[in-house]
Amino acid sequence: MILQAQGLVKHYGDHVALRGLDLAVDSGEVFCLLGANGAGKTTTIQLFLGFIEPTQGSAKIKGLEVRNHALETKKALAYIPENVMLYPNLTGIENLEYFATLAGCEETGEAKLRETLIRAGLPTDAIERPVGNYSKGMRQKVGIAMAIARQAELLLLDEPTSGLDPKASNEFSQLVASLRGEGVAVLMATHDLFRSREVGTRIGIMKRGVLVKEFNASDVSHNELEQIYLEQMTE
Amino acid sequence: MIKHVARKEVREIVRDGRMRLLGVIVIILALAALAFGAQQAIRAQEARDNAMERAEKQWEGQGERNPHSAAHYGTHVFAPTSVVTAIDPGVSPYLGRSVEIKAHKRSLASHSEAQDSGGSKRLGSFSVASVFLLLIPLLIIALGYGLWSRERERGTLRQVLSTGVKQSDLFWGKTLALFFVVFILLIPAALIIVGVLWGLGGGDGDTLVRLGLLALGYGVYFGIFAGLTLFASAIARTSRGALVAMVGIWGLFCLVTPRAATEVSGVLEPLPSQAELGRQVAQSLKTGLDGETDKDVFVEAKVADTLEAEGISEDALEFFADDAEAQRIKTYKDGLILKFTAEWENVIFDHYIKELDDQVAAQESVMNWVSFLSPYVAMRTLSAAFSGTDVAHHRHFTGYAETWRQGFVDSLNEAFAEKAGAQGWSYRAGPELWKNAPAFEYQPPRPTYGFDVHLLSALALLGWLLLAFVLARRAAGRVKAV
Repeated sequence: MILQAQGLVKHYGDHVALRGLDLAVDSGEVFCLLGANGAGKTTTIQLFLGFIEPTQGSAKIKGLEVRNHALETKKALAYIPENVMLYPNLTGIENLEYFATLAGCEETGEAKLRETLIRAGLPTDAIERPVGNYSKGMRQKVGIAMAIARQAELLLLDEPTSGLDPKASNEFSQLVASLRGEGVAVLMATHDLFRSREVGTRIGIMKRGVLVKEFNASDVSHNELEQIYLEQMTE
Repeated sequence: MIKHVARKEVREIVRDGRMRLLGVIVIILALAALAFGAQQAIRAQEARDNAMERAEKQWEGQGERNPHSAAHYGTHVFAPTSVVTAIDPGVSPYLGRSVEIKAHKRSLASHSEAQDSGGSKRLGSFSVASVFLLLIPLLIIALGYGLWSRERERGTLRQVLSTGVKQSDLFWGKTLALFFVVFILLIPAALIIVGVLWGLGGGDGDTLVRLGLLALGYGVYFGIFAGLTLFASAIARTSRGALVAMVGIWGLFCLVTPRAATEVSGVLEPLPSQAELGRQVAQSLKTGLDGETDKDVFVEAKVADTLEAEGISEDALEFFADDAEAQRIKTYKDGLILKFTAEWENVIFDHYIKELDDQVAAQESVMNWVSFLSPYVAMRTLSAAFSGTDVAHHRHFTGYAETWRQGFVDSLNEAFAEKAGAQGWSYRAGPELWKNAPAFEYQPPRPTYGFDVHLLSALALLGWLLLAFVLARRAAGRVKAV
């Protein structure tokens, strides 16, 4: 297993964000976490990033406990949030070079970086432009390029297509599917039922910090997924 | 890794236009201050050379005169000027650079710029040191306040920390970038300063050592503000918060603490007013330090003892009333009176000046301790010390001038006592005596004298640097993505 959560509990003072979450994601799997705001999706991702520590339970990446191996576990993953934040005065390629270097890919040449950005779908003429002028979709593509450049084994996506137009959202999903095909494990928190059915291999529905439903994406149609989701939300 | 982080930070600073703007401001201010300082230094050097030449001419060209009258006539001695004063004039605009030398009077230094410039000097002088002490820290704050906080605000910190980079690498990269940018901004100004000082004749070893010490001191001082800025940036929730906090700290260090410390040292170690000091000295000159000894009685007793020890009878003066020998003895006695009067006066002057010096030194000591509350106070003290323009250097000069004055007056009194003979007070010495008067050969303290006098300030500065970087490093290690 690339990613594994066992009995994960997270308290913020009196508020309980996660109540004993168990989940596992293996290579070539895209696990989509669905749920309303405050269900615990982002908390789950932040626990795997080591940004916060669990109150109880364990979060493991490649068998290593995240809280004890914060730096090693991060080397295996790439993180794409709802808004990929970049340095506005640096160009796309400079941003990519910087983040790739931080992740330990110091030897990546400029040609390779350029190729990566093109593969991620960034227009060629945008590569040398400061990212201050980029659209959100272009910034998300730079985020994907970071994951490709780092050769990440695990992608943590936190509502990555939120706010993207359908075309950009579709391109993004195709890139994720392509990475899945290369054996990358993906944990994606999202509100987008359609995209989760399209790109996901498994789907989990979270409610008040609990994974209330988990199934294979291929076992349900779009309509069935919507029905299951709404049922869980109204129960 | 550190190099990559530093390169990114430098790129950002360069591209957002801050560096260009601040670079222009630094160059303009440093050059204006240097031009002003150099002009002051040149003017002071010329004034000193002219005054020295005039004093020498007046002294040697005074014609024939009784030696003691010549001691009354007196002369002036001048503190050597260094081109480094163009960087930090220290207390010299306020305390003067020359001392009047004459019998019966110990003069304080005079001809200060402040005396010659109405009240405007009281507002403080504009110098390279004031730019370095006050404005460069602001420049460091402007360049560094967002190094952590802006990353947090715009969300790049999450992205960065998700890469698994060590926070220590980020910290050293940001530190290196800040130092590099400040260094690049200051290099042109520093080169111009060295060039101008060289042009003013400052190529000697002492000047180079002083410049080296100043560079070292200011490097540490800027490092302190860099460390504190990184610390504030790491702990503040927002960039605005970091900026406000650092400007507040700057104000506390550079404006409030020095003023408060000056007031406190004045209260703890009050100095007498000039009028009060003058009144006390005048009183003691009449009745001694114990307030009970009459000066004339003291001098007469000393003269009588000396004459008796030399086997000269006072009665002989009566007996040889019209004789040349009697006149010679009388002249000799007058010479002794002058000698012991000067001795009496010297004891009084030395006592009061020592008391005054001790009080000033106590005030300085308070300020040295205040260095532990404000790196500005520490660096201001060291800057003047390394430039040779602090109170300690001034005291070193005036102390030598007084020792020389006593020897100078003694030599003239002795010349009168020994050479006047029967001519008595109508004896006139000539240019030969004036030329052979002891030369004023003052050697300023070595450049590292500042460390001897202000070791506490130097230690405080290093302590501040250590504290600033310990705080900044610890805060960097605790920076959280959420």
